[in-house]
Amino acid sequence: MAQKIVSKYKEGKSPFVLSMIRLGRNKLAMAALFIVVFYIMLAAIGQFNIFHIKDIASNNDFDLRYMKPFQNIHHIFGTDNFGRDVFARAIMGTKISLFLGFLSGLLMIPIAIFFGSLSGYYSGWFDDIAMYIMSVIVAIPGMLIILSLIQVVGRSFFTIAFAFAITGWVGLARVIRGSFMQAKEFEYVLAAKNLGAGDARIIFKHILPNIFHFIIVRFVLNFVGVIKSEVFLAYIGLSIIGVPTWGTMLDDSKLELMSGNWQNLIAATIFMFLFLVSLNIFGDALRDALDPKLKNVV
Amino acid sequence: MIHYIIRRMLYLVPILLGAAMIFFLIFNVVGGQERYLYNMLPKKVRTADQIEVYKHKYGLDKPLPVQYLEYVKQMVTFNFGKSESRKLPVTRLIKKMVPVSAALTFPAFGMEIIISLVLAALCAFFRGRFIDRLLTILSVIGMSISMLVLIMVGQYFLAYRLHLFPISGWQRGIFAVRYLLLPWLLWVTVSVGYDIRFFRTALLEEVHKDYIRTARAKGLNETTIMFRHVLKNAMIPILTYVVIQIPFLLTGSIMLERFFSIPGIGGLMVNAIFNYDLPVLKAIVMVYTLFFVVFSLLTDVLYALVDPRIRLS
Repeated sequence: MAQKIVSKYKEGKSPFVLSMIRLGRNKLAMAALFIVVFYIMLAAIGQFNIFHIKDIASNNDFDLRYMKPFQNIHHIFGTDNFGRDVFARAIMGTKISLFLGFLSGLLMIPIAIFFGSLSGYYSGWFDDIAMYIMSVIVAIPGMLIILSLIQVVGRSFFTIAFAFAITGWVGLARVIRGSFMQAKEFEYVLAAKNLGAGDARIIFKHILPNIFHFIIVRFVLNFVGVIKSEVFLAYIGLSIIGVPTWGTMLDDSKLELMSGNWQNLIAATIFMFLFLVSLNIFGDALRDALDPKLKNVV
Repeated sequence: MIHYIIRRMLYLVPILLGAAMIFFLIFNVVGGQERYLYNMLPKKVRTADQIEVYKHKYGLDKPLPVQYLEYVKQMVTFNFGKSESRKLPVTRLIKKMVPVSAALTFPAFGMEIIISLVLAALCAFFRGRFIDRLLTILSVIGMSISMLVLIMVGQYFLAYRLHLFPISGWQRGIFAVRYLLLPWLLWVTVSVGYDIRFFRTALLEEVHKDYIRTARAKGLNETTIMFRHVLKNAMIPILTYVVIQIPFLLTGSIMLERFFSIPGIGGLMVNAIFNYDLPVLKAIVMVYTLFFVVFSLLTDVLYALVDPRIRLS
């Protein structure tokens, strides 16, 4: 008869839980996380058209054009050239920025894991090929590839996310490769190998969880890069057409400054700045919390 | 050493082939060029014959491998021909514009590195204290502001309102400096945040090592430790970080160049992409990869010079 053995000892916490507890103690990081969650909610408002935000953002009332910010309760950040509410447009821009960051991260990470883990683990001909591809992509300025790709394929949402992913995976793949090269010499990997674990099991079950913090942090900080690059694309004139984004708002404001209209600039800058600051702070705190080696560094 | 350098320079060949392949894939296989040629023709002559003539002129009717070889041939022989949009020889354009971009980016980069190195050393020296906290917060803020916003606000207030700098423009010779002051200032403001954080981490990593504890234990004062020991040993990550950015300085800064109408290579690059001006793009890619290979080699050689433990092989 099977008898249930009750352990006398309390089960220890896993390193991940410990690091999450460490993260939770960091008040600044929690505040940043709160803001990030708030932005995700804003994006949801934009996506599901709550409060008829899409109609407000695209409703142009020519009598109300260039309303000054902070004066009218209905248009907190004022209205733009066509009388559209700038605040609603910035919320719609949140949606685009979040989706772009998310999608490009989602495309980038599998590529990085594939090349990084295999080339680090096997380090034979595959490593040579992977390193070659990486050095070619690094040798050309990323913006040149991104701009050409968007110009040739077209200015759609997926193209832009794909272009960011195709240039962005290299850095992560190098980090993963380096950690795999170190990790395959460690005792736990040798132990797993001696117990008869296959390569796939060692890669995915043993080594990858140990370096997953790099991937998480990179995913968070990817948002920062993508949002900044989107502004750049909008300035060049290669951002997504037909939807308000933070970049296009900033680009519009470039022509309005001379006439003293700051609405677009203020709304987009405030939205973007708050988001990027919280992402930067949260990403750093996450890195510090997840990387056990950094625990002692001030 | 010599063998190592030669072998690394030979590495240029496959890198160049790969770079050419990327652009060949984008422009000739994914396409777009034909559509562009089609749109470029006047409406009257948009017949099938005329399009064939154009395709023949640009070599688009040949099989793909031949087109790729043409790419490579042009890049290797530096024979890029004429720019389609500017009607000038590409080599002349590049020769004219690289110095302009370099005048914008190299001094700015130098200032950026010096300022951020000093500030990061301050951070590491007063770690955990007020100055460190303040600088860390400021650098996070600096990292979070879009360059476009900074440029617009800077240009509007400093140049347009306060008349401290000319709004935009360019002239030949030494007096170009007055047009470059504001772009330099903005460049430094944008990039100092990243650098301070990177340098600070590099320095702090050294601060916590054992030999520093030994140095402290034998009674050296903090200043000597900081400048004699920490700064020297933190040089490896810092050198990589600095040297590897140098080839990218040649592109200039697309945003700054367009905003301040500086006739540099960044603007040329964007226009070339818009107009499918492939000769110009090929030349830019060639120049880049060349500089990239040279400078990454330089990084490794510098490593060996800075750190005697590293042997080149």
